[in-house]
Amino acid sequence: MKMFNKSLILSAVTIAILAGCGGEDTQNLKDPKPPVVQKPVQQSKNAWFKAGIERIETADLQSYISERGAAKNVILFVADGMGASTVTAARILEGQNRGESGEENMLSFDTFPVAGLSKTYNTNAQTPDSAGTMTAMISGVKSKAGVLSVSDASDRANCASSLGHEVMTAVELAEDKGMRTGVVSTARITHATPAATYAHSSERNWENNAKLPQEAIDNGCKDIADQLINFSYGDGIEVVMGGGRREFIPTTTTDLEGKSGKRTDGRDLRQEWKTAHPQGKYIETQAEFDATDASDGKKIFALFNSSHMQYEQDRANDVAGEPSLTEMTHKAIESLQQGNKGFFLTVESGRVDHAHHAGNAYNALSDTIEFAKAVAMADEMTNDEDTLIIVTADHSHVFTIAGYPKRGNPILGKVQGTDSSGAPKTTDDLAADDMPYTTLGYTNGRGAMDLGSETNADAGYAQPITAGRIDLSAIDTTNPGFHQEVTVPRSSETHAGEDVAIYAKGPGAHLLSGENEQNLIFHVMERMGNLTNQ
Amino acid sequence: MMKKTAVLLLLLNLPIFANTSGCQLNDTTNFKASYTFQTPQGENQLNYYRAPKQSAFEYKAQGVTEVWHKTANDKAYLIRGFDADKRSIEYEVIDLKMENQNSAWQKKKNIMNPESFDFDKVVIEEKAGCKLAHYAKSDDDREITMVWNQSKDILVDLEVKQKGKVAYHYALSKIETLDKSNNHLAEVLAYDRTDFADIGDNESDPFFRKMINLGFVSHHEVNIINAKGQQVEAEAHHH
Repeated sequence: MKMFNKSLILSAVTIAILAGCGGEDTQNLKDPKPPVVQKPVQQSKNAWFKAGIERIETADLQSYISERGAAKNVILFVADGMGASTVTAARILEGQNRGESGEENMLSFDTFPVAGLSKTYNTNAQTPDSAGTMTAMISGVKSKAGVLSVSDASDRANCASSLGHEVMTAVELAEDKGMRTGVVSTARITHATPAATYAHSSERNWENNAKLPQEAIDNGCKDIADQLINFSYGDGIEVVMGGGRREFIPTTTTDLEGKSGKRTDGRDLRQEWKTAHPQGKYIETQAEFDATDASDGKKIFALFNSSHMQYEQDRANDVAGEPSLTEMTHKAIESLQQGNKGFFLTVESGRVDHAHHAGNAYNALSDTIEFAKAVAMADEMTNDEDTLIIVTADHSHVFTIAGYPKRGNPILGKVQGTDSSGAPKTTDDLAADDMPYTTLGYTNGRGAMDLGSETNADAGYAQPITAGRIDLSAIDTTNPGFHQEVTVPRSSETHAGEDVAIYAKGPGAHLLSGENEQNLIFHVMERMGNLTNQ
Repeated sequence: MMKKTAVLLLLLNLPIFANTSGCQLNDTTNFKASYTFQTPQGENQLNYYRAPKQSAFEYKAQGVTEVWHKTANDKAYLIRGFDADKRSIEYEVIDLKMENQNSAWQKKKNIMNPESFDFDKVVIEEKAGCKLAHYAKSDDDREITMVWNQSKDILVDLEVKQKGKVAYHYALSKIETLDKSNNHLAEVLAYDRTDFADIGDNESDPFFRKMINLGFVSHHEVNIINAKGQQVEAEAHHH
C-alpha cells in the first residue's frame, strides 16, 4: 500500500514538471535573464516607504562606534515591568491622547537607532524579579531573584551566605573612576531597582534596620538605606532622587506629610547625610525642588515621599508636591554635567510595575508615557557623540493586546473591529459568550473592576477577586480606574518571562542589538564608559 | 405635628444602655473605649483607641484592627492590622480614596459623631461639668438616638431602630486610660508592615497569599451608616 502511494506521488510530480516545461515559462527557463524591474513609483511615493528611507538615511552612525571609553556619559533608563506589549500600548495611547489613531506614533525611544532583546531570567527563576534583573544590568552578573548586587552564590535573606559574594556595580565603578553619578527613581530609593545600584544585600526587603533579622545583625549586614547614606566609592553619589523617606527616619519622627519613619535605631539618616555633605542640598517638596539650582553641581539628595512617589496621574494629589520623572531627569543631568570626567546616571520609572501588579493598564501606560518623556529630555540634553543612552525594562508583565480592533480603536476601550470589506465597525465585537471584551487584558491577577475616574491603581487590591468574564456593556473601560479582565485568579498580577526590548543610541549602542543575556547591558556600559578605567 | 411630638417624647425619655458615660475619663488624648455592638445577627465587641493624631478600631471577632493616622493636610491614612498573624498593610490616602473610603481625618478620628446625622433635636445634660448631648430623629419607620459626650468628644450610645426593631446599637461599656497593659494600638503599629503597593512584589509571602485569596474586603461596621441611619454598605464582613 505504501509503495502504491509513493508511485502515485512520483507520477504526479513528473506530470507537473513536464506540464510546466511546455507552458509559458519555457522561455524563461531557457533564458535566465531576470525581468527588468521598474522603479515602483507608486511604492516610492508611499508614506511607509518614504519613512523607511528617511530612517535609514538619518541613522545615527555614532551608534556603531565601539572603542573603549568612547562614551563620556552613560545613562541607563529602566522602566520596571515595561514589556513589549506595554511599549506598544503606551505608544498607541500617547498618540491617541493627541487625537491621532495612535498606532503610527513613536515613543521617544522608539526612534533610537538600535534595538535588541534582553533575556531576563534570574539564575533561579524562569520569570524574574526586579532585584535579580537589576543586579544583572548594573553589575554584569546574573543572580537570584530577591537579591541585590550579590552573586547567586548567596542564599536569599541570608546575610552570612552573601558575605564575600558582593559584586561591584556600574555606579561604584564610575565613582571610583571619578565620574559624577546619579540614581533617580519614582519608587522608594531603597526599592529593588535603585537599591541594586548602590547596595549589596541578600534580601531586597531589608530597606531599613527594623527589617533586618537577628542573623543579619549578628553577621554585620547593613540595611539598604544605611548603605546609601554610607556609600563609600569615589566622592559619593552626586544626585539621589526618589521616594522612601520613611526608611531614613526613626519611628519616633513624623515627616512633613504626617508620616512616621520606619527606623527603630533612632537614627535620622537625613541628618547624617547633611552632616556628611554640608554643602549638599536635601529636598523633600516640589517647591524645594523648583528652588534648587543644580547648575552649581553640589550634591542633591531628595526624598519626595514617605513611600513610593505618586503615579504620574496622581501626582497633583500629593500632599507636599513632587516633581515628575522628566523634571527629575532634567535636574539630575543638569547637575551631573557640571564636571569634565563625564557622568553615569540610572533613571527608573518604578510604578509601571505597580500598576500592572494591580491589573490597571491606565496607570501602567500613563507612567510609561512619562518615562518616554524623561528619555526624550535626556536625549535633548546630551550629545549622541559622547553619550550612550540605554532604555530597557527589567522584566515584562502578563499584559496582552487582543484581536481584532480596527485601526485607531481606543487602546483602553472595547474591541470594535472591521466588517467583511475591511471597513471600521461602530459597534462592539462580541465574544462567543455574547459579551464585549477589551483590547487589553492580563493573563492573571485580580480581575476586572471599574473604579471609575479614580487614578490610583493599587486600589484594586481591596476589591474581591473577579477572574474571568464580566459584562462590560455598560462600563467605560477607558476610565482610569478600570482594571482589566484576567484569566487566572491570583492575589496580584505577575511578572512575565518573555524577553524585553533594549533601545540604545550613542557610542556602542549597536553592541546591544540582537538577542542578549540581560547582564550584557552592564558590559556594554562598562566598555563604552570605560568604567574599569583600563 | 405628630412627628414633632414623637421626637420630643423620645428626647425626654432617652434610654442610655451604656454602662458608662465616659465622664470619669481624665486624659482624652490617650484612652481605650470598649463598646458592645449589637445587630439582629448578634452581639460583637469593638474597642476604640485614641492617641495623638491616631484613632484605632479593634474588631475582636474579625481579628482586625484598623489604625487611622492624621496627615499634615487633615487627611487620614490607614494601617490595617491582622492580629492573629501580627502583620499589617499600610494604605495611602489615595489608596483609600480608591476604596471609596472617605479618608478625611474628621470622619475617621471617632467611632461615630453627631455630624454624620441630620439630627434636628438635641437636649444637653450637664453633670459635674461633663456635658452629654442627647440627639434624636425619626421618620415613618426609623428612629435614631445618640448620646454624645461633648466634653470628652466620644460616643456613648447610638441606636438605630427600623420599624421598631433594633438594626444597630453601639453602647459604651468601659473606658480606661491607655497604658502598657491595654495599648493594643501600639502593638498593631509594631506588626510587620507592608505597603499596599508592594503586595505584588511579595506574593511569595504566605501571609499575602492566604489573606488575599480569601478575598479580604475592607467594609466594616464603623462609618457605614448614612445620615438617615441606613446601611450604606453590606453587612460588616471580612471574608
